[in-house]
Amino acid sequence: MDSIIQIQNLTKSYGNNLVLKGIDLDVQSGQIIGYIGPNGAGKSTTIKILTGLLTEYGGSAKIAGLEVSQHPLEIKQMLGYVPENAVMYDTLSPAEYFRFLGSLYGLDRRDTEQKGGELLRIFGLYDNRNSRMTSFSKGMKQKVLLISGMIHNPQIIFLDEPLSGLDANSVILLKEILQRLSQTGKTLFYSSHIMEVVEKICDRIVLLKEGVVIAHGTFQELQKQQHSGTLEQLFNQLTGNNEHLALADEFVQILSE
Amino acid sequence: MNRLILGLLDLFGPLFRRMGVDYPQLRAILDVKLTMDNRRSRTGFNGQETKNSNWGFVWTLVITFAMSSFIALLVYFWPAHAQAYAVVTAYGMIIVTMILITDFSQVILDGSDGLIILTRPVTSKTLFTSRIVHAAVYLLQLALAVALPSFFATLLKFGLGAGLIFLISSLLVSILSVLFTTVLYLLIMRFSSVERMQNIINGLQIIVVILVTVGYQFIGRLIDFEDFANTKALSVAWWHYLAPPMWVGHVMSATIGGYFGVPTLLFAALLVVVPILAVRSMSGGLVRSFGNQVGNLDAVDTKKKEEVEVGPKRSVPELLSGVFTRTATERAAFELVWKIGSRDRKFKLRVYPSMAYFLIIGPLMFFNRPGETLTQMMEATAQSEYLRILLIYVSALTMVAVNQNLPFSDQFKAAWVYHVVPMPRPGEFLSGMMWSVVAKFILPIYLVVALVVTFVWGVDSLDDVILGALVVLVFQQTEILATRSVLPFSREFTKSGSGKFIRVLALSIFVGIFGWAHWALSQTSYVILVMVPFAFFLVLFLNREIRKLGWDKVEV
Repeated sequence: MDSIIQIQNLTKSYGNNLVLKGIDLDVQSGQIIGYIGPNGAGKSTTIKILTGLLTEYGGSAKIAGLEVSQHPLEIKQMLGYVPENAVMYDTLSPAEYFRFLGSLYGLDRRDTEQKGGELLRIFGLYDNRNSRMTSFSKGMKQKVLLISGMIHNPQIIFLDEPLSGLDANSVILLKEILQRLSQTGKTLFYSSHIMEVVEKICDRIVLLKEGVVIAHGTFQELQKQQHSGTLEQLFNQLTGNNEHLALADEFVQILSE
Repeated sequence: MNRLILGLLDLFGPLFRRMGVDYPQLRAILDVKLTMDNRRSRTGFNGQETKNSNWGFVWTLVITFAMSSFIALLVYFWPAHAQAYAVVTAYGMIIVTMILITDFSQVILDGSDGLIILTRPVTSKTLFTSRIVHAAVYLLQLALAVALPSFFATLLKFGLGAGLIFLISSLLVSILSVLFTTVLYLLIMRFSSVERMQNIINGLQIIVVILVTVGYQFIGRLIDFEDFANTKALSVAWWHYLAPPMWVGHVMSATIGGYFGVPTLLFAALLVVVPILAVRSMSGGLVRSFGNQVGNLDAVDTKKKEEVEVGPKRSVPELLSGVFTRTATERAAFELVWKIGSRDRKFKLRVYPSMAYFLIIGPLMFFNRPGETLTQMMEATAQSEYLRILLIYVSALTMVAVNQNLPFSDQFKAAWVYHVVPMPRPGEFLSGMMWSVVAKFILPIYLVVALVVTFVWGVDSLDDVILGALVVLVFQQTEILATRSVLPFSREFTKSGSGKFIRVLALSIFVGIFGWAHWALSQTSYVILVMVPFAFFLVLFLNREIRKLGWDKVEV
């Protein structure tokens, strides 16, 4: 297998604040990568660099052998991105939004609209395809967002907390879809705080803390290294210093004072 | 301000306790609600929204007070008392109703506090009372801001008695504004969905903003100063019994004139009884039947929201985009700008009134000659070549309203898609945006201008309109090429108006120079006709240049 994403000594700073402190990462195509870490670890920054939203960075970030900052257009054509809590122009209907995106990707407008409608049907939203999204619930919008990130059939898909707002059935469905996608050779970059899901669906896990990769491997490998049962425990061991027991005690104590 | 109100309220503390209300709780609820009144983002008279301010409502009150002060001059200087007070009262009612319509759902219909407050140990009686008190305080503030200037004017001119009667009348009448707003909401909610209701309210707001801006231009023209000498009392007509402002007018004129007849007593009775009946009906039936319907307003339950179908058929922009644009990116921009331009309520609220303003003010410049008939005015206008050209170029000012608001949206964050998709030349997007503005806003305006010009000056003058419109296009394109443009709907709404001033200034200079050049050229026959194809090719050329623009020419 060839590596589709190559990151070498990637750094990024906002002013004096060094957010990424030299990240190295090699992702094989066809894998689901679980990209986890506490808040502020630099996960979103990495994703923003890889998706071409942030063009100034140190080190090298290559997708399919192309440096991201040098070939933004080719790379954007290959990528799908589902941001966390993303806003869409919700006075448009899903069909119109897909059509809009189709135009921007240079796809046939009507095909894109049609395809979007079919994909909405899978999520049970076919009847809503021509309604303005202002009336949609959070879960409905999330479904539209998921489809809009994949509608151009990208090779690599970045997903940031993609399950938020979805009901249990949609979650099961989406997890299945993601696994099928990886089986067809697509690479998925999955960032989330829900450890159970990451543990279950990701082929490899990358743990980021304070701008540095502190653990990297399959779940089984990590388990062996750290002698821990679940990914949640492992996460806590590596990033939380096991303080949670003491903190929980303290919380309860303050309440009863 | 809130502390003052709460301090005053403390005087009534024992009264509330006797009613079985937990006063400290009521005070706490009221404190929070008054604070929220000030923080709520609201749309002001200029269609602009204030945000993140701690003084939102106070500011509204100050502006209302200032505007009412102008109206109060009528009371002082207009000897026809009945008319003066009727106008002042009607004005007050309109202002209060307008502010109520925008704030209503939060002030009177707020169903969410049930969820937040009733889950705590608060009796429903305390909550209900604090709602009523809050609504009353809110209304009192508004009504006072509207009525105080006229009260002072009355006080100065006619003494304390008349002043107090006016103040009480104003407060009574403002209750009718609440009734009116309530009934309006109830009707809209019964017959249509929340989404539709918001559209209707949006429409009302647009109309009111137009009325207010244009109204100020008219007030001077409408008041006939000869009327000022006419001090005869207004004779009573049957419809006066149906119009609350007339009740106040007649009561005040009787108070000042010192005569009382049966009609006066009837008016006074109406003034007292109708608001009381209104309060009773509202606190009883209306509010209860609201409760259920209002729940839907904030409810997350999406089934209650009727969905607005945009239809599977090809819509107008999707048909037109094929005509006006070439590349897919252009087409995407064309349709986006068109659709959001027709649907984004705030965009409409900011653009349409300003457009209407220019459209109404423009013609006023020409047809404002008192004492002439319309035909005479038209003949005089038709004589003037210069006015025709001025009309053509001044119409370009409507563009300012569109251009200025195009970068903004409440959903500016949705603009992330521009950066995720492969867009090699954002210039194509800008070009699509421009043609959308042309097709949606400029073309219709110039069709109207063309009609007017044909009507007044004859078909021969149409070449002027065509050339003028093309020159305006060139200006539009030059602006895109010369400045760093912003992609549509990608910025947060801000209050700053400096951009507008510079734009109006630049456009005015442009209108001056090009209008003059146009006029100078038109002195030689056929030159205009020759210029038209030249301008046309210039437009095509500039459009090619815009398409080539890269990301370095776009402000991100």
